[in-house]
Amino acid sequence: MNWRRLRILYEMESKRISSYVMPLIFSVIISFLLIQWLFGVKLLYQNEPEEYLSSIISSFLMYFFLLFGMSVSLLYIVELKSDETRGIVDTFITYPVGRGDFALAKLMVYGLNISITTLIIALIFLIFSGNFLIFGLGLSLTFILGILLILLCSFSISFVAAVFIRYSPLSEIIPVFYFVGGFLINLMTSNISAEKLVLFLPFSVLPGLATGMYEDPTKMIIYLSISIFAYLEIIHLTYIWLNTYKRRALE
Amino acid sequence: MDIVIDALIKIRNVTKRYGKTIALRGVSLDIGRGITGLVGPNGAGKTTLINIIVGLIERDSGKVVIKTGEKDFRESIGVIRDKVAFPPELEVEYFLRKIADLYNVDISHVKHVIDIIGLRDVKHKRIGSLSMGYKKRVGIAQAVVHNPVLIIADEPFTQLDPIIKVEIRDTIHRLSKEEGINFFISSHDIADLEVIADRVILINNGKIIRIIEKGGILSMMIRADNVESLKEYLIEKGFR
Repeated sequence: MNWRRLRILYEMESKRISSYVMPLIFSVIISFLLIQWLFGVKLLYQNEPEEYLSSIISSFLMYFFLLFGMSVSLLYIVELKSDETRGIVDTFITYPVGRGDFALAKLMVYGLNISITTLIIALIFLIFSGNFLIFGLGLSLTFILGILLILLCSFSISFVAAVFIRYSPLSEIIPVFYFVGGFLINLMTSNISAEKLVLFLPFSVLPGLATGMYEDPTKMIIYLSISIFAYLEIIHLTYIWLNTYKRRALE
Repeated sequence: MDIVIDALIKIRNVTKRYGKTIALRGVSLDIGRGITGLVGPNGAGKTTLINIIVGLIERDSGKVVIKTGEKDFRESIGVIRDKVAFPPELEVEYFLRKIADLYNVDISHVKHVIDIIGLRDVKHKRIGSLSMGYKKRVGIAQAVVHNPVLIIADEPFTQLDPIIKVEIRDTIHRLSKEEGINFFISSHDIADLEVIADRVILINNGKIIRIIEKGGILSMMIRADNVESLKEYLIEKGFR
């Protein structure tokens, strides 16, 4: 990975994004989700707070993953597809950079912008709604960390889409993909063990860890680390594949 | 096939097929120093050949060897594509600086390129807001910015009015003579290249049909009887 070239591409891509539309869309989605969650938690909290705290965070993170992941993927893929159609990606391949460098730089720009916006909104929400007091510091930080892990999953899944972008109308099937994914996640959460679940959905283990739900937390942390590594490796392998593909045209 | 000693690019028996359509039928040629033209009608296989050379599409068989002295051939060639496809949101100078940066070239060279290509008046404008003539100039500038040995240009004269076309042609000629840059340029109109090219390769239906050296073109074009015979020859081969 040539970090110098990635930095230059990153700077160019960040200069290209001049619209406030994207952060606005995300702010609305996130605010909507947080308000929904707030009312849910407040109602349940009045009855049996201890029992519901962990599960409510897990379920919130899951819905968050579906909607947020879908939106991130749509934005990133639509932008990448637009550059591909206009021939901008091919222009950059004639420079000493690969398709993977270009796609990764774009993802990094979207990733950073979206992550910062999301974390700021989440923090504001937790602080000003008084939820820091309800959940305490541990669960609130779990919530923030969960969002970061959701972003990692969304970004790595979206990045794989860059491989197929020339061959299919991906942006149109992304919502379908995520809703099918959501259905499968629901199915999985009720049918497989926590150890297996954490490999696919690393954020699912966080509330349990924070509330001391697991008998062997070390084991769950190891599974969590494997999962994070696997998602990072998805990005890494896709990057290598995208960068070597076109080189085969020449000796 | 004419063998060129000290060729920059050697192409041997390259074939390419898109479904049932054969785009290239065993093309072999050497691209030497100076300005080499590739002329053929629409659909002759020019863009396919150029995209194979620059690595944008894969060939079905054959060999392409680029001998420009760099490990990554893209360090030593510049590419002007038929599509004017640059980030429209970026300003001209900023874009060129970043491209120079990608090649690890001194940024002061960008100013020189802006001056010789004639982009000084629009250097702070966004690429998307430029006229086609200026966009084509940006295309030349981004290909020149890293001092390449060879520039491969696909249809650089299309969509241009006659005056801008002459200006672009003069710029290419000047870069070749003053900066020592070699060019391989495709066009569907031999008139675009007759004055500046050192040699012209005629391609049609995916095959190289003739290679004409500069003297050959000029003598054929200057003498009236040969103009007619050249015209007849080209019409017979499917040229306009």
